[in-house]
Amino acid sequence: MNDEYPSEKLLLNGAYYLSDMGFGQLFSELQAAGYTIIGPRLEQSAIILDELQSARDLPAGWGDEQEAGTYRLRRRADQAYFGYNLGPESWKKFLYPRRQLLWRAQQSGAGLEFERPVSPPQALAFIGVRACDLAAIKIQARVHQGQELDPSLNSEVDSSLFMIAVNCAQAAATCFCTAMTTGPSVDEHGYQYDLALTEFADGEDHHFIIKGHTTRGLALLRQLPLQDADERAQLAVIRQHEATARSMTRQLDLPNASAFFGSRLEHPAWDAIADRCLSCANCTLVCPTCFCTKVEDTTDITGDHAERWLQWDSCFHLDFSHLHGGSVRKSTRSRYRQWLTHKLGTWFEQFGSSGCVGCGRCITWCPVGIDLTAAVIALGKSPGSEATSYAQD
Amino acid sequence: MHKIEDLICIHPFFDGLGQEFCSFVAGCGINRHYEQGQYLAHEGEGAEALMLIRKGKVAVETKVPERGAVIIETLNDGDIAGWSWFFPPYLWAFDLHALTNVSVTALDASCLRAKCEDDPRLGYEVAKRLARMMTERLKNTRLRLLDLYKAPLDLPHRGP
Amino acid sequence: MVGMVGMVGMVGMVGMVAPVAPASFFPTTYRVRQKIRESADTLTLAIAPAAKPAATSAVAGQANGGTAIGQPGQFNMLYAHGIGEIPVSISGYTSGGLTLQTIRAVGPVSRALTRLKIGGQLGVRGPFGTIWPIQALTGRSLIIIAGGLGLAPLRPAIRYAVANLAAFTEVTIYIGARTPNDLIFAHELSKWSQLAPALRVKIAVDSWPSGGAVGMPLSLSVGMVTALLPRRLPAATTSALVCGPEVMMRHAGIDLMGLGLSADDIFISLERNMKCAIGLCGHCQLSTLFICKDGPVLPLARVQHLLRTLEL
Repeated sequence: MNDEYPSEKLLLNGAYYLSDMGFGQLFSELQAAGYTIIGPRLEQSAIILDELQSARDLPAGWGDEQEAGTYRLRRRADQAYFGYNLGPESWKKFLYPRRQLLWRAQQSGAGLEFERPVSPPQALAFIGVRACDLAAIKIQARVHQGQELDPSLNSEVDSSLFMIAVNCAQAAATCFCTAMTTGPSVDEHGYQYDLALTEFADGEDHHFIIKGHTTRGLALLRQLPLQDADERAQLAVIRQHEATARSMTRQLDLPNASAFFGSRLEHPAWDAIADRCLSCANCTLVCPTCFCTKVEDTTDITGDHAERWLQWDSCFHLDFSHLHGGSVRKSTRSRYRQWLTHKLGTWFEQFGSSGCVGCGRCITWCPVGIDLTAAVIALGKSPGSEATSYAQD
Repeated sequence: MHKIEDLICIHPFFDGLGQEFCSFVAGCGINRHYEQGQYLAHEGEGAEALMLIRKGKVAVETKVPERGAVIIETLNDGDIAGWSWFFPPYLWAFDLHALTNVSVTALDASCLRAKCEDDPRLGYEVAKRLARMMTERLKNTRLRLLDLYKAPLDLPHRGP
Repeated sequence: MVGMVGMVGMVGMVGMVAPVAPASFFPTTYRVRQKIRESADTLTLAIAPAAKPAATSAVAGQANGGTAIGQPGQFNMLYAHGIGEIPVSISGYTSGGLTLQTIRAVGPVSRALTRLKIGGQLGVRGPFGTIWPIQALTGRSLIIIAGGLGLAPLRPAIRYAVANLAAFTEVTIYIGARTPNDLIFAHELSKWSQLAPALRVKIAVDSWPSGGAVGMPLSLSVGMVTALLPRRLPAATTSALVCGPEVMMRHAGIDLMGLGLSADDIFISLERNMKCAIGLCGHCQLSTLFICKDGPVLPLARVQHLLRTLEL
């Protein structure tokens, strides 16, 4: 309990100082409230998202180095809990799981019966959600709640999910959230979350500046040992945002995306990219907004019991567009074109925003290092100029 | 009973030709009537007339061993039968078979060719119309060659 | 304390990781009541919900132990147990309320569906998709062009026109098929032919079997179906509904626009790979369009430039 801070004094969106120890208490408070905590963990040389029992499960003291086709972890000089950027997984792993049972069917003497599965609900708390991923969560909620372009449509994330956002203290080389105006600060874009953390680990004093963004978030804050965050501390937060933002160099300039792609469907840059693309689908797997699925119908050996499973799919798969004994998009070129023009272009007409949040995962995790920001630059050059040969430095 | 020149002028092939030209060529023309089952032309015979089909259905046919007389295309009211009369050696490439009673206005080929040579403006009008008709028939033939209604190949793949 | 919310409803309900199939993912059990052979590889199944409806009502939009009544142009997703699910256009309803689904057996699912016996059961989801805007076209001249199996999605629109002939200035139906044996709905074609001159039926086949003209009906031609179009027509007051192979629809569009029709007055029906039929799985996309919900019926004006780009 916090004697110094009577709970009535806590302000919504007020900034408070939370020590390293206090941060650990955040986990126990969440668990006491019945949440399963999901956050970053180090596993097999990558930082993935999984269940956490305590703050000790976080990759403290680890950082990452990312570039096109490159991901490396490295030890930091400090013990920052969030001193890295994004790994190959995104929150869609839990929000729209890779495999979901849609229904079971039973063929018997009585006929064909369909049965809906019932699974017990699980209250989740996400910790460590970056600004770009908050944008992605919002975009995917919009996709799944119907694609009306009515801006007043409630595309809010379900309120039972408890979210603890984290401001990035550093940017990876592949990050470009500033170009997509989705970050790096979680404050500025109307995102939904309960608490926001900004971490400071470089000095003697490892601490957080924490803000409660919802009444539920405030209620949890009241259980934590907080102190006043003075002006200097709050300024440090702003400086951190600015430094992170300044460090990003990749650009994406697409003022009129539809027209841009619409007039470049046969641009030679697509051929250059297709020469390198393996159609491996990594980009769609790691992309936090990709939503395509397929269904798999299975039966048991008697043929009486069948199940239909909903699974992640990728437009890079050859049979994604299968029709009439062939696929509409046979060539790798056409499939890369579909992915890029959809993500950066037609997504606007479908869902009212870009499909890209600037997280950079597709650039990092492409085995041949294709960079969509470079692709857009290549497409912007007039065909026939040398610069359209898509070059990877 | 209409005059030949009026029948020529109202036929779609000569649509927009102008009374002057219709009268000019009328002298080559004669009305003919075929009974259902009769042949308007036989493959290999002299193509001696441009036939404007006024009414009736005509089959363009060719004899194929073991298949009999195969219909390649059917022509209806307002079509013309063939263009072999315009190009040497002026021989019909296919049979023309009346599927119903057919009324035509037949313009004698040598007469019409002579008038086209005499008056290049008429020649150009006739050539334009023939070319237009042939491109239509060629386009349709090419589309039919694609065999679009054929059942798609059942290639092995995942899913339905 | 955080309250636990009970789990109902939509896949993708964020936060509660207990996704359950939304209503539109969940099939209704139907039973085959009749089978009508249309051609060597095409069959129409007349199906009805297996469960008795609680109350008799044929109000469109109400699921009465079954799916809602589909409008002309819409399709259902048909599930063959254990094999899979495919989109099949609704080709009509019987007077007794049975749903007619015309299926060409070209893959594992379609074959399994055509092999169902009377009484056999299947799963049905739907109806989905946009409709032939035929009710909005009253007062106009109507051209309907059907190529091959394209006649099946058009039949409900044609039946509407037949039932409301006085509402249209004139109606002409052009039907193309590979050979006369491939013509579907033969019995109904004869009935429609008898409605001349208010409704005219013109049929063209790509080829006529050997034997010459013996037995050829007078209404049949050999050639491209679009060659039967008139040389002139009142373009400003004419609308067209076209359905068939994509190449055929593209060229029919060119011919119709050559006759003066606007691309906004020409409607076609497109097909793409479909899994969910509700705009979520992403498979059916053509540029910005989800063919399952922005289509399958679309004005040519909206898609003609897309259809000319290969592999889009």
